[in-house]
Amino acid sequence: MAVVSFKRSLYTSNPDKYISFLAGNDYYDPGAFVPIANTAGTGSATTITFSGIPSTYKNLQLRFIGKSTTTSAAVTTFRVTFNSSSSNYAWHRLSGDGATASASGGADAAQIISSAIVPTSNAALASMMSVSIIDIDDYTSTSKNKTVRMFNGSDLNRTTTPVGVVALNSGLWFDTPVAINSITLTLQSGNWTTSSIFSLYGIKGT
Amino acid sequence: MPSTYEPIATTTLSTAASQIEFSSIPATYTDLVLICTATATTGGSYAILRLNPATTSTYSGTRLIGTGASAISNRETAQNALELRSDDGIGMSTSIPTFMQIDVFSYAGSTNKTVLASMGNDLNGSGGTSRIVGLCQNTAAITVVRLLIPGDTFKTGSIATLYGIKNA
Repeated sequence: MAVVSFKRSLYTSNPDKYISFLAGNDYYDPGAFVPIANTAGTGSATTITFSGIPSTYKNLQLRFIGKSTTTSAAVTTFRVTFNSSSSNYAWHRLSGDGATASASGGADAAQIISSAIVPTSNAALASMMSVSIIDIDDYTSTSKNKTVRMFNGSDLNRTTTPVGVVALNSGLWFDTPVAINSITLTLQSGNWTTSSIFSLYGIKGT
Repeated sequence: MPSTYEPIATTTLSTAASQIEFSSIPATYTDLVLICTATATTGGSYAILRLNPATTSTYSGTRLIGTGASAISNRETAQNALELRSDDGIGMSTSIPTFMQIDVFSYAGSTNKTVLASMGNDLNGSGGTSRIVGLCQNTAAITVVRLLIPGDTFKTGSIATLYGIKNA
Protein backbone atom coordinates (compact mmCIF):
# COMPACT_ATOMS: atom_id res chain seq x y z
CA MET A 1 0.00 0.00 0.00
CA ALA A 2 1.37 3.38 -0.94
CA VAL A 3 0.35 6.69 0.60
CA VAL A 4 -1.24 8.76 -2.15
CA SER A 5 -3.19 11.27 -0.02
CA PHE A 6 -3.30 12.31 3.60
CA LYS A 7 -6.34 13.67 5.39
CA ARG A 8 -6.57 15.24 8.83
CA SER A 9 -9.26 12.81 9.93
CA LEU A 10 -6.88 9.89 9.41
CA TYR A 11 -4.48 10.99 12.09
CA THR A 12 -6.90 12.61 14.51
CA SER A 13 -9.37 9.72 14.85
CA ASN A 14 -7.48 6.42 14.87
CA PRO A 15 -4.01 6.87 13.45
CA ASP A 16 -1.76 4.01 12.34
CA LYS A 17 1.74 4.30 13.75
CA TYR A 18 4.93 3.34 11.93
CA ILE A 19 8.48 3.15 13.12
CA SER A 20 9.67 3.65 9.53
CA PHE A 21 9.27 6.81 7.53
CA LEU A 22 8.23 4.59 4.60
CA ALA A 23 4.87 4.22 6.40
CA GLY A 24 3.72 1.20 4.42
CA ASN A 25 5.31 2.20 1.14
CA ASP A 26 7.63 -0.22 -0.63
CA TYR A 27 11.31 0.49 -0.33
CA TYR A 28 12.42 2.48 -3.35
CA ASP A 29 15.94 2.24 -4.75
CA PRO A 30 16.56 4.82 -7.48
CA GLY A 31 19.58 2.88 -8.73
CA ALA A 32 23.06 4.10 -9.48
CA PHE A 33 22.36 5.93 -12.75
CA VAL A 34 20.61 9.18 -11.93
CA PRO A 35 19.34 11.96 -14.24
CA ILE A 36 20.83 15.33 -13.33
CA ALA A 37 19.58 17.69 -16.02
CA ASN A 38 18.12 17.78 -19.51
CA THR A 39 18.09 20.57 -22.06
CA ALA A 40 17.50 21.23 -25.75
CA GLY A 41 19.08 23.54 -28.28
CA THR A 42 17.40 26.88 -28.95
CA GLY A 43 18.40 27.36 -32.56
CA SER A 44 20.12 30.61 -31.62
CA ALA A 45 22.98 29.54 -29.34
CA THR A 46 26.21 27.87 -30.35
CA THR A 47 26.81 26.50 -26.86
CA ILE A 48 25.04 24.20 -24.44
CA THR A 49 26.20 24.40 -20.83
CA PHE A 50 25.39 22.24 -17.86
CA SER A 51 26.35 24.25 -14.78
CA GLY A 52 26.04 23.72 -11.05
CA ILE A 53 26.79 20.03 -11.44
CA PRO A 54 26.62 18.48 -7.96
CA SER A 55 29.67 16.64 -6.68
CA THR A 56 27.63 13.80 -5.23
CA TYR A 57 28.34 11.24 -7.94
CA LYS A 58 31.40 9.24 -8.90
CA ASN A 59 31.15 9.55 -12.69
CA LEU A 60 29.13 11.52 -15.22
CA GLN A 61 27.62 10.44 -18.52
CA LEU A 62 26.39 12.95 -21.09
CA ARG A 63 24.19 11.60 -23.88
CA PHE A 64 22.89 13.71 -26.72
CA ILE A 65 21.56 13.94 -30.23
CA GLY A 66 22.82 16.99 -32.12
CA LYS A 67 22.34 19.06 -35.23
CA SER A 68 23.62 22.46 -36.36
CA THR A 69 21.61 25.27 -37.90
CA THR A 70 24.31 26.08 -40.43
CA THR A 71 23.82 25.04 -44.05
CA SER A 72 27.32 25.81 -45.24
CA ALA A 73 28.61 22.24 -44.99
CA ALA A 74 27.34 18.73 -44.38
CA VAL A 75 28.85 18.18 -40.93
CA THR A 76 30.69 20.10 -38.25
CA THR A 77 32.55 19.36 -35.01
CA PHE A 78 31.69 20.11 -31.43
CA ARG A 79 34.11 21.13 -28.72
CA VAL A 80 34.09 20.25 -25.02
CA THR A 81 35.32 22.47 -22.18
CA PHE A 82 35.00 22.28 -18.42
CA ASN A 83 34.46 24.97 -15.76
CA SER A 84 34.69 27.68 -18.46
CA SER A 85 38.40 26.97 -18.85
CA SER A 86 39.89 27.55 -22.29
CA SER A 87 43.31 25.99 -21.86
CA ASN A 88 45.17 22.78 -21.09
CA TYR A 89 43.24 20.26 -23.15
CA ALA A 90 44.44 17.36 -25.30
CA TRP A 91 42.59 14.80 -27.34
CA HIS A 92 42.90 11.71 -29.54
CA ARG A 93 40.49 10.47 -32.17
CA LEU A 94 40.05 7.07 -33.83
CA SER A 95 37.45 7.21 -36.55
CA GLY A 96 36.03 5.48 -39.59
CA ASP A 97 34.38 7.27 -42.49
CA GLY A 98 33.12 4.21 -44.31
CA ALA A 99 36.26 3.83 -46.39
CA THR A 100 39.25 4.52 -44.18
CA ALA A 101 40.12 4.18 -40.51
CA SER A 102 42.17 7.10 -39.30
CA ALA A 103 43.59 8.64 -36.15
CA SER A 104 44.37 12.19 -35.16
CA GLY A 105 44.94 14.27 -32.07
CA GLY A 106 45.81 17.59 -30.53
CA ALA A 107 47.75 18.89 -27.55
CA ASP A 108 47.96 22.08 -25.49
CA ALA A 109 44.59 22.97 -26.93
CA ALA A 110 41.77 25.30 -25.92
CA GLN A 111 39.20 22.50 -25.99
CA ILE A 112 38.59 18.84 -26.76
CA ILE A 113 37.55 18.59 -30.40
CA SER A 114 35.29 15.85 -31.70
CA SER A 115 35.37 14.34 -35.15
CA ALA A 116 33.14 16.11 -37.69
CA ILE A 117 29.96 14.24 -36.92
CA VAL A 118 27.23 16.83 -36.29
CA PRO A 119 24.93 17.09 -39.33
CA THR A 120 23.99 20.54 -40.48
CA SER A 121 20.61 21.80 -41.64
CA ASN A 122 21.55 21.20 -45.24
CA ALA A 123 18.30 20.29 -47.03
CA ALA A 124 19.58 16.84 -47.93
CA LEU A 125 20.10 16.01 -44.27
CA ALA A 126 16.62 16.64 -42.90
CA SER A 127 15.93 14.87 -39.60
CA MET A 128 19.42 13.39 -39.44
CA MET A 129 21.14 13.71 -36.09
CA SER A 130 24.50 12.87 -34.60
CA VAL A 131 24.62 10.79 -31.44
CA SER A 132 27.16 11.00 -28.65
CA ILE A 133 27.99 9.42 -25.33
CA ILE A 134 30.59 11.19 -23.20
CA ASP A 135 31.85 9.53 -20.01
CA ILE A 136 33.71 11.59 -17.42
CA ASP A 137 35.16 9.46 -14.68
CA ASP A 138 36.07 10.68 -11.19
CA TYR A 139 35.00 14.21 -12.12
CA THR A 140 35.22 15.51 -8.55
CA SER A 141 38.85 14.56 -7.95
CA THR A 142 41.07 17.41 -6.80
CA SER A 143 44.26 15.39 -7.26
CA LYS A 144 43.91 13.93 -10.76
CA ASN A 145 43.63 15.33 -14.25
CA LYS A 146 40.31 14.63 -15.94
CA THR A 147 40.16 12.06 -18.72
CA VAL A 148 37.04 11.53 -20.78
CA ARG A 149 35.86 9.03 -23.34
CA MET A 150 33.57 9.88 -26.22
CA PHE A 151 31.75 7.48 -28.55
CA ASN A 152 29.83 9.25 -31.26
CA GLY A 153 28.91 9.39 -34.89
CA SER A 154 26.39 10.07 -37.61
CA ASP A 155 25.41 8.33 -40.81
CA LEU A 156 24.06 10.44 -43.67
CA ASN A 157 22.86 7.64 -45.98
CA ARG A 158 24.32 9.05 -49.15
CA THR A 159 27.18 8.54 -51.58
CA THR A 160 28.58 12.06 -51.56
CA THR A 161 31.43 12.55 -49.10
CA PRO A 162 31.05 12.87 -46.15
CA VAL A 163 28.80 9.85 -45.91
CA GLY A 164 29.13 9.10 -42.22
CA VAL A 165 31.61 8.90 -39.40
CA VAL A 166 31.85 6.73 -36.33
CA ALA A 167 34.47 7.80 -33.80
CA LEU A 168 36.06 6.96 -30.50
CA ASN A 169 37.67 9.95 -28.79
CA SER A 170 39.62 10.44 -25.61
CA GLY A 171 40.10 13.82 -24.02
CA LEU A 172 42.32 15.21 -21.31
CA TRP A 173 41.93 18.34 -19.20
CA PHE A 174 45.22 18.89 -17.40
CA ASP A 175 44.55 22.14 -15.57
CA THR A 176 45.28 22.20 -11.85
CA PRO A 177 42.89 19.46 -10.73
CA VAL A 178 39.54 20.70 -9.49
CA ALA A 179 36.08 19.19 -9.46
CA ILE A 180 34.18 19.66 -12.69
CA ASN A 181 31.08 21.73 -12.01
CA SER A 182 30.17 22.76 -15.54
CA ILE A 183 30.39 21.25 -19.02
CA THR A 184 30.08 23.28 -22.21
CA LEU A 185 29.51 21.89 -25.70
CA THR A 186 30.28 24.39 -28.47
CA LEU A 187 29.62 23.90 -32.14
CA GLN A 188 32.37 24.78 -34.57
CA SER A 189 29.80 26.19 -36.98
CA GLY A 190 26.19 27.23 -36.47
CA ASN A 191 23.87 26.90 -33.50
CA TRP A 192 22.37 23.83 -31.86
CA THR A 193 18.95 23.20 -33.40
CA THR A 194 15.83 22.85 -31.29
CA SER A 195 15.84 19.15 -32.17
CA SER A 196 19.17 18.75 -30.34
CA ILE A 197 18.59 17.16 -26.95
CA PHE A 198 21.18 16.85 -24.18
CA SER A 199 20.88 14.71 -21.06
CA LEU A 200 23.36 14.60 -18.18
CA TYR A 201 23.43 11.67 -15.77
CA GLY A 202 25.33 10.97 -12.57
CA ILE A 203 26.65 7.51 -11.76
CA LYS A 204 26.97 6.73 -8.09
CA GLY A 205 29.90 5.00 -6.45
CA THR A 206 29.91 3.12 -3.20
CA MET B 1 15.19 11.02 -7.17
CA PRO B 2 13.83 9.10 -10.17
CA SER B 3 15.19 5.80 -11.35
CA THR B 4 16.56 6.14 -14.84
CA TYR B 5 18.37 3.04 -16.09
CA GLU B 6 15.66 0.43 -15.90
CA PRO B 7 15.38 -3.06 -17.33
CA ILE B 8 12.35 -3.26 -19.61
CA ALA B 9 12.55 -6.92 -20.58
CA THR B 10 14.96 -9.83 -20.88
CA THR B 11 14.75 -12.71 -23.32
CA THR B 12 16.72 -15.90 -22.84
CA LEU B 13 16.23 -18.38 -25.64
CA SER B 14 15.12 -21.82 -24.48
CA THR B 15 15.08 -23.03 -28.08
CA ALA B 16 16.89 -21.78 -31.16
CA ALA B 17 15.13 -18.85 -32.79
CA SER B 18 15.53 -16.77 -35.90
CA GLN B 19 14.84 -13.56 -34.02
CA ILE B 20 14.73 -11.89 -30.64
CA GLU B 21 12.06 -9.24 -30.43
CA PHE B 22 11.02 -6.63 -27.90
CA SER B 23 7.61 -5.15 -28.63
CA SER B 24 5.15 -2.73 -27.02
CA ILE B 25 8.08 -0.65 -25.82
CA PRO B 26 6.69 2.24 -23.77
CA ALA B 27 7.55 5.76 -24.88
CA THR B 28 8.41 6.80 -21.34
CA TYR B 29 12.19 6.75 -21.71
CA THR B 30 14.68 8.93 -23.57
CA ASP B 31 17.04 6.28 -24.92
CA LEU B 32 17.05 2.51 -25.20
CA VAL B 33 20.01 0.22 -24.61
CA LEU B 34 19.94 -3.35 -25.89
CA ILE B 35 22.62 -5.70 -24.57
CA CYS B 36 22.88 -9.15 -26.09
CA THR B 37 25.27 -12.07 -26.03
CA ALA B 38 24.44 -14.64 -28.64
CA THR B 39 25.78 -17.63 -30.53
CA ALA B 40 24.62 -18.94 -33.89
CA THR B 41 23.45 -22.40 -34.88
CA THR B 42 25.35 -22.51 -38.18
CA GLY B 43 27.69 -19.56 -37.71
CA GLY B 44 29.56 -17.26 -40.05
CA SER B 45 26.92 -14.58 -40.45
CA TYR B 46 25.98 -11.46 -38.49
CA ALA B 47 22.97 -10.35 -36.55
CA ILE B 48 20.92 -7.53 -38.03
CA LEU B 49 18.77 -4.91 -36.35
CA ARG B 50 15.35 -3.68 -37.37
CA LEU B 51 13.35 -0.97 -35.66
CA ASN B 52 9.54 -1.04 -35.66
CA PRO B 53 10.48 -3.21 -37.76
CA ALA B 54 10.78 -1.30 -41.00
CA THR B 55 11.90 -3.58 -43.82
CA THR B 56 12.19 -0.95 -46.52
CA SER B 57 15.59 0.26 -47.62
CA THR B 58 15.91 2.89 -44.95
CA TYR B 59 18.99 1.72 -43.07
CA SER B 60 22.59 2.75 -43.47
CA GLY B 61 25.62 2.21 -41.30
CA THR B 62 29.23 3.25 -40.95
CA ARG B 63 31.64 0.89 -39.22
CA LEU B 64 35.05 1.06 -37.58
CA ILE B 65 36.52 -2.42 -37.17
CA GLY B 66 39.62 -3.70 -35.44
CA THR B 67 40.64 -7.07 -36.84
CA GLY B 68 43.50 -7.82 -34.49
CA ALA B 69 45.98 -6.77 -37.17
CA SER B 70 44.58 -3.55 -38.58
CA ALA B 71 41.83 -0.96 -38.31
CA ILE B 72 39.43 -0.67 -41.22
CA SER B 73 36.24 1.17 -42.02
CA ASN B 74 33.39 0.24 -44.30
CA ARG B 75 29.73 0.99 -44.71
CA GLU B 76 26.43 0.10 -46.26
CA THR B 77 23.51 2.18 -47.50
CA ALA B 78 19.89 1.63 -48.49
CA GLN B 79 19.58 -1.64 -46.61
CA ASN B 80 16.48 -3.24 -45.11
CA ALA B 81 18.26 -3.66 -41.77
CA LEU B 82 21.38 -2.52 -39.98
CA GLU B 83 24.03 -5.22 -40.13
CA LEU B 84 25.79 -5.64 -36.80
CA ARG B 85 29.13 -6.58 -38.25
CA SER B 86 31.58 -7.27 -35.43
CA ASP B 87 34.65 -8.13 -37.52
CA ASP B 88 35.89 -8.31 -41.10
CA GLY B 89 33.91 -11.17 -42.58
CA ILE B 90 34.22 -13.92 -39.98
CA GLY B 91 30.83 -13.71 -38.37
CA MET B 92 29.19 -15.15 -35.31
CA SER B 93 30.50 -18.31 -33.74
CA THR B 94 28.54 -21.43 -32.87
CA SER B 95 30.22 -21.66 -29.48
CA ILE B 96 31.74 -18.32 -28.45
CA PRO B 97 29.21 -15.58 -27.74
CA THR B 98 29.25 -12.35 -29.67
CA PHE B 99 28.69 -9.29 -27.50
CA MET B 100 26.42 -6.52 -28.75
CA GLN B 101 25.42 -3.25 -27.12
CA ILE B 102 23.10 -1.04 -29.12
CA ASP B 103 22.13 2.44 -27.94
CA VAL B 104 19.00 3.81 -29.62
CA PHE B 105 18.81 7.56 -29.03
CA SER B 106 15.57 9.55 -28.71
CA TYR B 107 13.63 6.50 -29.86
CA ALA B 108 10.28 8.17 -29.19
CA GLY B 109 11.21 11.42 -30.94
CA SER B 110 10.25 12.70 -34.36
CA THR B 111 13.68 12.75 -35.99
CA ASN B 112 15.30 9.88 -37.87
CA LYS B 113 16.68 7.30 -35.48
CA THR B 114 20.42 7.02 -35.04
CA VAL B 115 22.04 4.22 -33.07
CA LEU B 116 25.50 3.46 -31.75
CA ALA B 117 26.58 -0.17 -31.56
CA SER B 118 29.56 -1.67 -29.73
CA MET B 119 30.44 -5.18 -30.85
CA GLY B 120 32.87 -7.76 -29.57
CA ASN B 121 33.61 -11.08 -31.25
CA ASP B 122 36.86 -12.48 -29.94
CA LEU B 123 37.39 -16.01 -31.21
CA ASN B 124 40.80 -16.73 -29.68
CA GLY B 125 42.92 -16.08 -32.73
CA SER B 126 40.36 -14.49 -35.01
CA GLY B 127 37.29 -12.31 -34.76
CA GLY B 128 37.35 -8.62 -34.02
CA THR B 129 35.76 -5.63 -32.41
CA SER B 130 33.71 -2.89 -34.00
CA ARG B 131 31.89 0.35 -33.42
CA ILE B 132 28.96 1.22 -35.68
CA VAL B 133 26.83 4.27 -36.20
CA GLY B 134 23.57 3.34 -37.84
CA LEU B 135 20.75 5.38 -39.32
CA CYS B 136 17.14 4.26 -39.64
CA GLN B 137 15.16 6.78 -41.64
CA ASN B 138 12.04 6.46 -39.59
CA THR B 139 10.60 9.45 -37.76
CA ALA B 140 7.92 7.48 -35.90
CA ALA B 141 8.33 6.46 -32.28
CA ILE B 142 10.02 3.09 -31.98
CA THR B 143 7.85 0.47 -30.27
CA VAL B 144 9.54 -2.70 -31.58
CA VAL B 145 13.21 -3.65 -31.58
CA ARG B 146 14.10 -6.85 -33.41
CA LEU B 147 17.37 -8.74 -33.72
CA LEU B 148 17.51 -11.29 -36.53
CA ILE B 149 20.15 -13.57 -37.99
CA PRO B 150 19.51 -14.13 -41.70
CA GLY B 151 19.74 -17.74 -42.85
CA ASP B 152 20.56 -18.94 -39.36
CA THR B 153 19.16 -19.05 -35.85
CA PHE B 154 20.31 -17.77 -32.49
CA LYS B 155 21.25 -20.73 -30.35
CA THR B 156 19.61 -21.72 -27.09
CA GLY B 157 21.00 -19.67 -24.23
CA SER B 158 21.41 -16.50 -26.25
CA ILE B 159 20.28 -13.67 -24.01
CA ALA B 160 19.18 -10.10 -24.62
CA THR B 161 18.05 -7.40 -22.22
CA LEU B 162 16.43 -4.11 -23.16
CA TYR B 163 16.93 -1.15 -20.85
CA GLY B 164 15.32 2.27 -20.81
CA ILE B 165 17.18 5.43 -19.86
CA LYS B 166 15.07 8.35 -18.71
CA ASN B 167 16.38 11.90 -18.59
CA ALA B 168 15.64 14.54 -15.96
